[in-house]
Amino acid sequence: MADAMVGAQMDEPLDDAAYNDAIERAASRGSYWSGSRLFVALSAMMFAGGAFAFFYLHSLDSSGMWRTDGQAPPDYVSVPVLVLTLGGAALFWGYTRRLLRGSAVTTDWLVATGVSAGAFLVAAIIQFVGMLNTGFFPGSTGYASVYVAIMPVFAVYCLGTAYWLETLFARVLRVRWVVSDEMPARDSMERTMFLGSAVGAKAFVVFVALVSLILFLLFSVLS
Amino acid sequence: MADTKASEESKELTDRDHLRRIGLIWLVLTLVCVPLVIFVLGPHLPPGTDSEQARNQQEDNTVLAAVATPVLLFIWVYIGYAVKNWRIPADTPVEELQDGPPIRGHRGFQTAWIVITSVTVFALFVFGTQELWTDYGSGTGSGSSPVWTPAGYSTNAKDSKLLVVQVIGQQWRWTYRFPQYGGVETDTLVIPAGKTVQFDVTSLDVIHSFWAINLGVKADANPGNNNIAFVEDPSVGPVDIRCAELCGTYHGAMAQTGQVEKQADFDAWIAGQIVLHYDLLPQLPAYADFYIPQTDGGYYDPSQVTPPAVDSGLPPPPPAPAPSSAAPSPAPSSS
Amino acid sequence: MATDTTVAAGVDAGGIPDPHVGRGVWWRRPGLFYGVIGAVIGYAIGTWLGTWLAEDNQQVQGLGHNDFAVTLGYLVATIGWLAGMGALTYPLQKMAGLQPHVEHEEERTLGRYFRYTLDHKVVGVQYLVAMIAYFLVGGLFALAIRTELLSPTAHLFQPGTYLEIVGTHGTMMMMMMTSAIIGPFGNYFVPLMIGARRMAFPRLEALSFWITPAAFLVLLSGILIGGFPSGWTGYAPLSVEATQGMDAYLVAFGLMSISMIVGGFNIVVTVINHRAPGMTWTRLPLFVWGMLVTGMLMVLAAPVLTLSCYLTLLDRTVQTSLFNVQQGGSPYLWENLFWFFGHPEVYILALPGFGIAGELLPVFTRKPAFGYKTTVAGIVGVGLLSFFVWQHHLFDSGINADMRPMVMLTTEMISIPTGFIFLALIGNLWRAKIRLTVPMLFVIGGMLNFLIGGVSGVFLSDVPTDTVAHGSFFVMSHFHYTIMGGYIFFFFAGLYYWLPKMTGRMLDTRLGKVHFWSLFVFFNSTFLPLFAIGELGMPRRVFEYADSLQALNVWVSISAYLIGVSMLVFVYNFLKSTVIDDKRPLPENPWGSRGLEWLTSTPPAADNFVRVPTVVSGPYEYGTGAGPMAVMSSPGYPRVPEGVS
Repeated sequence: MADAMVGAQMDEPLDDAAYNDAIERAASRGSYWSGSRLFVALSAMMFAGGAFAFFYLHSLDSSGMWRTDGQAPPDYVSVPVLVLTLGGAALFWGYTRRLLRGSAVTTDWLVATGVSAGAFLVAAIIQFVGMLNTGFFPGSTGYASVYVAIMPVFAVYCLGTAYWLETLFARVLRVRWVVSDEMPARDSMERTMFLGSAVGAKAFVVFVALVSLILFLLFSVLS
Repeated sequence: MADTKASEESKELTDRDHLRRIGLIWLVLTLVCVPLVIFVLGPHLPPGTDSEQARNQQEDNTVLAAVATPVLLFIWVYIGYAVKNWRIPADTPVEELQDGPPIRGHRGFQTAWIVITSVTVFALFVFGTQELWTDYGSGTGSGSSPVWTPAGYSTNAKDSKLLVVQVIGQQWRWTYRFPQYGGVETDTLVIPAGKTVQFDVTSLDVIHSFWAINLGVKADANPGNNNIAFVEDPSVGPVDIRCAELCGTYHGAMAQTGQVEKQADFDAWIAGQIVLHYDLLPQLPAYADFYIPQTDGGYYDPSQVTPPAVDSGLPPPPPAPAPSSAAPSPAPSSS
Repeated sequence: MATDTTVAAGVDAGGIPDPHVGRGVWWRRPGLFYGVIGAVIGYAIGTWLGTWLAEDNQQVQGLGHNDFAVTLGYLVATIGWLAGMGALTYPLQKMAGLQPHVEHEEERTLGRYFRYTLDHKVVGVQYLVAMIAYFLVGGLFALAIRTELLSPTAHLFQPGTYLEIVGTHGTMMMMMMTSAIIGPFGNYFVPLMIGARRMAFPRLEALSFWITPAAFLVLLSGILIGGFPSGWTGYAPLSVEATQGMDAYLVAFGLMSISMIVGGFNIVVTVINHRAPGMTWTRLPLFVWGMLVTGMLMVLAAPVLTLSCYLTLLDRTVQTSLFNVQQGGSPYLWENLFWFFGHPEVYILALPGFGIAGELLPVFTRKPAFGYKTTVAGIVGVGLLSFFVWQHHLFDSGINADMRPMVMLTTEMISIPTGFIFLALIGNLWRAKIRLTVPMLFVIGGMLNFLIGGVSGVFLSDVPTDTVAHGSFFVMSHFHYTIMGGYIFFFFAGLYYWLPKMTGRMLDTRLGKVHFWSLFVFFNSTFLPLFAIGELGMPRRVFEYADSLQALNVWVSISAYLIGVSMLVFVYNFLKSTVIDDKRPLPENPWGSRGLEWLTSTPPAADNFVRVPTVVSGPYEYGTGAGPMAVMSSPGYPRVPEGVS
């Protein structure tokens, strides 16, 4: 690990390049961690704006047109999206947790990440295609408008998650050593960046799963 | 203050001396300026004295200006004093620069500053809230169900002891409906002096803002929403009305002059309006708190919306100047 | 699967070089040229796609204008522009499993300023030049407004044209200028001031910049397709009903919000993680504090703006009814969402200025920062409170009227942390060695202007007095005092102060003083009368006003032209000092500042510091006997300090 390497050399002077490298490695690790949390925070603000629109228009019920009876997206869109996002997130979260604890077998993690990325991709496609067949006109009610507005944003987030997981997947496919313990010291920055990205994605999938669940509750369960 | 040393000796002055000098200049200026603000500027501050709300706003403006004056003066005096006494040539070479005293803060000064600003802020908050409350929203639009209302207010315009005037904004003009006079609609605003008037402001298209400048009234006109503002005791004279929210191309020209009349003149005017528009009255939509524009070009579809509308049966037919006594109070006296 | 380790390392290390860093002739790598081509192709594709989508759409045909085509044209053009600039290269490489290193360009050519570059200093200069250009264009619109207002009736422009000008001026200034300090000085100096060799996410900082020209051009192009009638606030339902020019406003503002998010995100992460050893939170320069909180506001508030613009675009294109009261929507939704962004935005336009003031005052008073922690508390407090005051823009709107006392309280409470910042000014000047250099003049001038802006803000926070002031020229003058009088003055302070560091050339002092005094005098002479004009009953954004106000308005217009003359002095000074007259010898540290940014070479080398410095004292230790702020060279600090691993 990077820490071990720096620790081993604490007693002897580092040349400029090694010194800068050690500091930037630590900074990079922190950047991925705080960057992913910040990204979750800003995404949460955006979805909170959507949730505000939902509850605000619901409470105003302008012209009695918040929602017509039984207006809801088809279950064959909303349920698969929910299942795929929750499942994909759980899969990636669990295996990455094992990976970070050092107990994962590489191939297991690789398969899990690939499947998870696929799940998010399929969820995004289902959601996008589902927008073409919601069963109601976008402007028919306030509810319909909020649904038509928010769900594509969520689908874009699913697509983004799939992309993020895919980059990790592709990275490991190409360079197997970033997840192995026997790592050449000269490439420690590579490993830091990979692990940082994985840690960030691990937090992010939880967020996307949470959004998925809340959106499902808002649009399909609440009435 | 016996301290009249020339400025070249200022280096020998202690902190306390400087503070005393600044304080003295500030105090003198404040004692001169604050009375000027209150007694000379204050009575001329907008929005004037044409209604109770306007008078209170003028008073508020005066109070705030009187509070702001010492603050502004202090910063100006301080900066002026500091720059005058403690400056060194701007082009001093970097090598010859000397450092100032390493003061990182002053606990007492900082505490005093924080306490003073906090107390001022909370005092202003209490004052503002009290004015807002006792002045029934202070002439501003207070939503469809205001909490601070003058005596005689009723959620139903029909039962209201106040004169209810519905202000309807549309691109780019104002019209006014008088639900207590059979829902007659006019394109000029006339209200009686000395009465408390309730403006129900709404819009047919985009957001406007009804600004009766010298009455101290400003309320946004929102489509599909009723925004109520009160004005008490308007005095006789013209009313300048403008739209204060950008509403499209001719927003800039959306201005009007209304009139506050004596009660008798108002009665005559409204009776004349009813006679003038008598044939049109049946074609107007029923009175409602707000109007929803319809795709067929109309503004009101009772089958779709059932607002808490006043039962707006027209007054029985008398085409004579005096409307019948069936009109709800305040009943117009015959002219 | 069984990729060989050495081969893999070879691929990353040298096999596939990062094309951003690539060398060679200009047409063989991404850059401005391909950006323009990409934009043109993208616009064609987007317009075609939009036309095709809306072909059979009855509603669109009924409207008489196809917003699908315009919106998609703008959006795809922006994507094409960014792709041509090279923004998509890295994401695609990531998809292929590659991990290009961050490498800074060693070559110092003019060409790098026209590319998607990873050097934060190049991005800072790009931002600086672009922001000045945007500002001057926005200023020309202001002069057009003042020309129309020379007479109380419409005389120069059609009413519609006048509104287009007003809207474009307002949007240009409120939207593009959000990055006027965080863009140039934040990107350039935050890493230098915290002792970092680079930004946390160099590609994001380039992205945040290269979105701005797109947003600028989209906004300007709105005029060609009818402009937008709604001013910079874009209230629905006017915005939903407006013609195609509105799409330009929405797309441009949405793009700029993304630029803000990306830029702010990068700054925040950099400050948190890339501080040099020894750069503790209590040693962090006040400017960096200002940037950190501004970045935080951008990251948390701007997403709501992105969403609002997107929602309005949906109402205009796919016929949702979010703002349509007949179909279950509400115009209040826009007012709430917009101002939830809009009020933090006001502080996005104030805090960077406070940061510059806090940074420069100790330098020009030769004293430690007075009440450092109080100032930081002020900056953070303003940032926090700014999320709880947005409804004071809606005092007259009828929204949540019962909540007004609470909003009044939160709004007035902002005076308390703002007071902290003035406290610092006052304390710094006490018995100081005040040097009235041009940057210091701008700092003091900015503080004096902001004082008036802040005091007039109290009138707006109090509902009874707000009744008159709301929506009138009073409020317009108020925010010009805080933004133009405060923010832009602090921007100039930063420019005069840091330009020697950025370019190695100093702006002419004599012209700088002419610039300052003329700007200060004419600024006040323009905007002080506007308070009176507003109180006397002139609403914002009108082309007709009472005859009695003509004398004041003519006075204001003439003063406004003189502001324009003052800006010409600045432009001349800027061009003369940087381009024409570039042989002026300059000391390394012309102001005698202790700041870390002045300890490295001028202009800084590609990676800022040969070795990450170790900070040993605070940046404002004037007169305390402390040595230099940081140890720059290797011999003294050979080891990795504790806590860094």
